[in-house]
Amino acid sequence: MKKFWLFIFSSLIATGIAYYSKKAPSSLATKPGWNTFEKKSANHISAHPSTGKELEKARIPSPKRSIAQEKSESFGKAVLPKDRAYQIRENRLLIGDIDRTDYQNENNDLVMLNKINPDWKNILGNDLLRFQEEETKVMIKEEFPVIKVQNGKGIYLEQVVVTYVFKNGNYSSFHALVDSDTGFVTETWDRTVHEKVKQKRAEIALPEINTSGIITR
Amino acid sequence: MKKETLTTFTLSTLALASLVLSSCVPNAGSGLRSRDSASAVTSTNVGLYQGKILADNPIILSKNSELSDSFDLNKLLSVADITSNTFLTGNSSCNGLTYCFEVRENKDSPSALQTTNGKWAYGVSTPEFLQVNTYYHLNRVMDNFFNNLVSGYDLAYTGSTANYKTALPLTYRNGLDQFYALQNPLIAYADCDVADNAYFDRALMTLCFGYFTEHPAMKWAQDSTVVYHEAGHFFQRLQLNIRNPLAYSKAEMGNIFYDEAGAIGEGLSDFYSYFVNGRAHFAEWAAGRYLAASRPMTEDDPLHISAVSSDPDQRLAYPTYLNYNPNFSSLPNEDIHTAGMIISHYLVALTEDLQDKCSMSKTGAANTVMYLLTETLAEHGDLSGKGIEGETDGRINLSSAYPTDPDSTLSRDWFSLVNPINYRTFMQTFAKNLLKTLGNSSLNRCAGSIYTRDQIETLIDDYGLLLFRTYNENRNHSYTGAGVVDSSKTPTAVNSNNRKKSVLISKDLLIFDPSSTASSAYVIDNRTTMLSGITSLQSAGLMTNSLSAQTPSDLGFNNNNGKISPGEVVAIALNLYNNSNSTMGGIQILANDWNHADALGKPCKFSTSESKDNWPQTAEGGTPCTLPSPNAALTSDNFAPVCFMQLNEPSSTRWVSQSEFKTKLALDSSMCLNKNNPKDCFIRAIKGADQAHYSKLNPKSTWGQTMADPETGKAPGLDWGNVLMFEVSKHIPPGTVIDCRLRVRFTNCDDCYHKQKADNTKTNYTSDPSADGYDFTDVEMNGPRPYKILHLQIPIVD
Repeated sequence: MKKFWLFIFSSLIATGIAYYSKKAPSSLATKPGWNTFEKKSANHISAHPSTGKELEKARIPSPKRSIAQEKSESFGKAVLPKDRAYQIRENRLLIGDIDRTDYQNENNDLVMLNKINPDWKNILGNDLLRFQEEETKVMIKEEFPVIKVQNGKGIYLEQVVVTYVFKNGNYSSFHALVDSDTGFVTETWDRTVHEKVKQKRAEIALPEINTSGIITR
Repeated sequence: MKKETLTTFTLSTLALASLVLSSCVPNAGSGLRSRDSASAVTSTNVGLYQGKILADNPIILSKNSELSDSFDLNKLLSVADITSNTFLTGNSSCNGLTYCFEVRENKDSPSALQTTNGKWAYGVSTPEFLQVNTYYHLNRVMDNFFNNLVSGYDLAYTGSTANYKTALPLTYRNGLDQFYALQNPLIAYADCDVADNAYFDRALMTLCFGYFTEHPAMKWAQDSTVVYHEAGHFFQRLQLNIRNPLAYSKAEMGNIFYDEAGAIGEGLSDFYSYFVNGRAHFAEWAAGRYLAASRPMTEDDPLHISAVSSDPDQRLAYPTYLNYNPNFSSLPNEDIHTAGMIISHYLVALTEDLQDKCSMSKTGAANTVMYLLTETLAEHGDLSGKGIEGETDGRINLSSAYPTDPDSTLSRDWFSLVNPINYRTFMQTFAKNLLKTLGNSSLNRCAGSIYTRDQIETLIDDYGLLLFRTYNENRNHSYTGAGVVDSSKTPTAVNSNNRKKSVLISKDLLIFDPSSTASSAYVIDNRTTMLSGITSLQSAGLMTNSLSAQTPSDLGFNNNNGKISPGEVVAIALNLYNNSNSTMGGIQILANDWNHADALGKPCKFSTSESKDNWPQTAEGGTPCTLPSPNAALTSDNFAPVCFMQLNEPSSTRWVSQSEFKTKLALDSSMCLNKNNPKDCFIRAIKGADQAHYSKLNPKSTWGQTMADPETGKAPGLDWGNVLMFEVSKHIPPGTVIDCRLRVRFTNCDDCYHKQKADNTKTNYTSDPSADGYDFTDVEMNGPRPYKILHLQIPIVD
């Protein structure tokens, strides 16, 4: 009997712990992998690890998701599937002109055209917000590091997901390759497709009197 | 073991077990919820694993096109099998030719909806219903699509032998390779907090179905056709990238502004809805009921104007109907969704034609068309340059494997800019795929016979889309190593007698507005306007290089005087004019780097056989250039910035490269826009804004005249996709004159895509008569011949 009550008591405690852990607002927790940059003023851009609330606002799926979690966590920071024959060098995915030489063998020289700047993500965040309005946020997630080979030389790059969150709640995302040294975007893809039915054109106003002086032919 | 230790151990174990188990239980406010009475009511008469759904959208189910948003949609529900899973998740495996997805209420939901009793019945007004309805229809379209993909492989291959040149990789069929390689599972938010919108986020792999500002009871997820359409964008990403299995650099249909690839993408997504439900109309409820934005897919639809019918002479033909919106038919509309109706109507008409000519069932015909779309998109999207299984590099989208390719991102540039998907290129590849499958006499898949070339071409022509002279089966591989025509790879010619409605126009007829009072080019340098443009492009991911550090973040050099001054970022709008008697469609203006300078950077003066440009004269710095042969390897010398500088010297005035101009000014490279690239030291087209599009130009009209509201005579303002953007160095001396040599073309251009024999009327002939009608290769697309060349001579004004 004593054992029974002990079991009930311990179950209640365990249930309580589980309930509390679920009840606690996830938004306070920081999620690894994402960083948020926010334009506070013309000269001030803040940076911090993205919070759960920020991820939710940007409609970024929670890391708690079921299938997604399995898939992403099993490969750690990178999302490279295990069973694909990727070429790796310096723990970076090799891309580009990589079929002529075995660059996976690090004894084979590969001259690198840039270096890895540990501050690349900050530079990127600042560059992406340089022209944006105040209170615009950009969230950046590192997916995996890359070495791109072209003309027999390598460039360090980082593959990231970029998500903009605007003051009015609108947002947009895309994938990008970023120079690991300069922090500048070199390539983008995976832009969001909208079905907006009230999409407005930019309605760019042309000068009423054209004084450009441009001669055409 | 001591008793206390045992107790602690027991407690800890139980706590841990509870925690582990709790990870399967959704948070409060997400999946596990008690529901209102509507739920209870609808739970009756529902079996295990079943739920209640709207089998189609409410307009169709009620047969009432004016159904009110206050109507009780619970009356339209029906019972359907949902899933035996505990959560609203699809297949548990994301490997191979299977799929996985999950449906959640919204962004705040940390997991998919869970059932506690194995049933999925909820009232229409509940968020749970939206999730179940979305799940049901998403699962349905997924089933159809992936089954089609598998059966497509069986059409393409017998064992491991390809039945024809296919773009589908054999590895997927045999090894069930990672079709989902590097895809996150798709997550659909059924009750997303976005107003008047539904979208597919390619980067985050999420679908989002929003609400309607003025009709809060209505939700996008109540309309199954919207689920199919948005899923269609997801499928297109898969189809385009079947041959791009690696993680990086995916192909996509169009950019965010108007272009024909984007229009075709929207039309295809409409067709995915038809593919599932067999009904040739999209979004009668979500877009049609109050927003007047639903879209038909057949000419017999009553929404169309009377001039449109399924009579071959009254089809929704290109380019006439590019700006046609059946909901507001008198008002020209430049929008990818409505411009995509031409392809959706063609695909539905083809489905019907296959039923008729090949005795296929409706489902069988729609499946055949979907398979042909997969083949077409897989070939176009290949960024490795192969395009067809077993081919060597260099077949399509240039190739990163060109021996001295200066930049392996060139394939992406060719796919999106230099030789992009438009109505001509898409239909040519699609027609080729029709020919090699249903038109293949060794397969006889059309009721034991073939779907003939005449049948293929006739229907395409009905839509004004027979814009190609050959099927271009071998693309860049039509030439020998010496660059002459390979007689063993002669492309199949289109029967010109079948081109009755498709109109081809000479590129020479695209000119600047000839009106004496008109301006040919406008400069927009308003600071606020340009900041808006930069932020729009950058946040959409279109700008793929950063602006120079010398350009201030407030665009402080922009002075809004309508001229170009040092340090400005400007937009330039061209006032083009269609000087022909037929409509031009798909006008594209290019300001990217191209092959118009020699290895020293001197501007090429092209021979008259290469271009009518005739600029600059030798005394002005022009130099003859030898263009590469059609299949030559490109080098960095084959890419020069679009703009040259005028150099005034005591003895002469000549046009020089920006590098030479910099040297003459003794300007240090660190003062260039990009200190590492003196080639565009003083002015550069902003990557991502280095092409502009106009949907169409009516005969003898400008874009403004084409787009004018018939009642007011006014055209809408330009969008960012209509203009080019340039960045100007603050170090450029005022008084300098710049010449930007732009290239323009249009989709129904007679001499922009294929070669013609030399004669007095043709302006762009081939020196090899045996190549008459051949498409220009990707290498040739980098030169002058496929384009009309236009010049902007720009004075820099302080």
